[in-house]
Amino acid sequence: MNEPRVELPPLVGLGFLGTLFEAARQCLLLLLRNRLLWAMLLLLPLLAGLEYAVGGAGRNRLDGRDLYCLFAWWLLAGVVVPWLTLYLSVQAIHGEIEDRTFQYLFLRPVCRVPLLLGKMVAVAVLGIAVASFGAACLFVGAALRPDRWATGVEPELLTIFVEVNGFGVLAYVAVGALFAARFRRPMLWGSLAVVGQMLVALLPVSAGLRSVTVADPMRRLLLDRLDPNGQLARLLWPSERDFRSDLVGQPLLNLLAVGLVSLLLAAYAYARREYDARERE
Amino acid sequence: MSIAPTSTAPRLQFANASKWYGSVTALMDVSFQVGNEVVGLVGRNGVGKTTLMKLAAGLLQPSQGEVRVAGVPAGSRAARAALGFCPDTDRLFESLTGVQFVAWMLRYHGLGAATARRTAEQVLDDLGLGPAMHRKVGTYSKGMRQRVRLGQALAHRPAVVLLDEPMTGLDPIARAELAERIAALPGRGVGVLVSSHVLHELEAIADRVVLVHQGRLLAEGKVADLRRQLPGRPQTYRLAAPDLRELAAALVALPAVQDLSVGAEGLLVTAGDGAAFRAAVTELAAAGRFAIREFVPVGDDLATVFESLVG
Repeated sequence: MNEPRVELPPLVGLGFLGTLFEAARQCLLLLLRNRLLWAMLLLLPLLAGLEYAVGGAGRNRLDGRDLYCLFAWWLLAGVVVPWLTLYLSVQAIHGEIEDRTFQYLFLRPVCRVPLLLGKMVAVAVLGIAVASFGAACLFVGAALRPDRWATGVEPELLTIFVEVNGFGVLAYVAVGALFAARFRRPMLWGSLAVVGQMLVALLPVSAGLRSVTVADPMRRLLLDRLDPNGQLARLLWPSERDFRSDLVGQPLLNLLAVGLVSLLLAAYAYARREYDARERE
Repeated sequence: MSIAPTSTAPRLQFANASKWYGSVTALMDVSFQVGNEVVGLVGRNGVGKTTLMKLAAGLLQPSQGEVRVAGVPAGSRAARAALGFCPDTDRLFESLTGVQFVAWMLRYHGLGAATARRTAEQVLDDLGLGPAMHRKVGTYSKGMRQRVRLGQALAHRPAVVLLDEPMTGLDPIARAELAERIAALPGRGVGVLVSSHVLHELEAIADRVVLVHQGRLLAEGKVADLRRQLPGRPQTYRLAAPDLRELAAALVALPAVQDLSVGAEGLLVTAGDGAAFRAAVTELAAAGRFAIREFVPVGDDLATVFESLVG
């Protein structure tokens, strides 16, 4: 074939970090338009209001510290953080696969791994922001009744929950990315996984399976930071009646392991050459 | 990664490419090239057109054979930089404006934010989107969405673009406009592989066509050339003469003639052996009998060729 010379476009590309940053920026902009995210931000002050109301009710009222830990652990760290993170991960990663818009991205001269990591960064940023806002709202809800705090209001509790939720969000983002990148119905399978790991995390310390969950290392990290009395320990870990500090183990290492394995599997699934193969359809 | 900045290779090349999923064969031993031209891809639903497009785009890998874009393997970074793809799905990032979307795609080609935006505005303006480019894609008509999809495929100046069913869902005016734009692309140095069900429109813009049926490349070439490759297939001709009845009586005696009818436009004759029939009519005309004014093949269009080939 007698053809004129084909001028190939310059292969500049963005590079790994550039792609990651751009993917994160765009994903963040897209997720910020998600209504559920904003609904969640409105819901959190309502939870704080509920906490305030509960704090003033009943004869055997909880200490302010216990009340805050109870709400911040069971409602925020136990419900809001995993479900919101899973939902945002699925929206960011699987949404494009579901509506086929991923084809626009995958045909650009960039690697897919930083695309995935960028989306995860965006979800993590939003997850941590929402979790921190929730922790702050709940703290205000409890602190508005200073008479309930036997040893005075403890602002450091807020820092502890921001830290614990932050690590939890990072691990949940990796788990959510794995389900979003690998499964056709990621919310369904992800939900089963989240519920399952929460149930496993309720097992006594003798059950070694706990350490491969996210909820259990988060709880052990929280207990380590809180140094709780017996009542608070039982409120946070009902199945373990005699909490001792030596039961804490290596929660950060456990979270890192769960997060890293999930991340590697997610990257492998996302970077497969034939992502559009028929077995997904 | 380092690649040659220029290449004399075809813009798109399939070399004995096959694709199968387990025991299901989607594409078998397909070979053809796309140069600086518009090549139409014709085939019924489910015959492997989209698989072929995805192989070219690098979204699928051939089970056997090779697919190259501008001389480099399809799917490689260099191939993706040289390729524009307009998928058949009408999904876009609805919450972004047309400019934001195209500029975002350009960022991944290494353009700075300001350059990407400027280029996106220019491309969408060239495509006739006008001020609507600053509105959210979710508010666009189908024609406007198609312009955006085309814009993202062309904005980085690819060597070849793949257009998968680009006419689907467009009104006649938008179809005509799009056809005009596609036909103009080779003039800008862009090779085009376009699939469509709208055969007459494809015929109008394609320099060549590739016919795919049941995963195989059935035929390739110019429509008229393909028509000539169909010996033994019945072909219809229209003849005009002052006395059609007398002419009909003479023609019906020819062994090549299968069917004959007299209509308002003349005499329609279906011949089993086109070559023999043409020779016989030429003899009659040369002998000066019947004063034949017109002798033209009917149904020499792409649809007829396609139907003839696939039965």
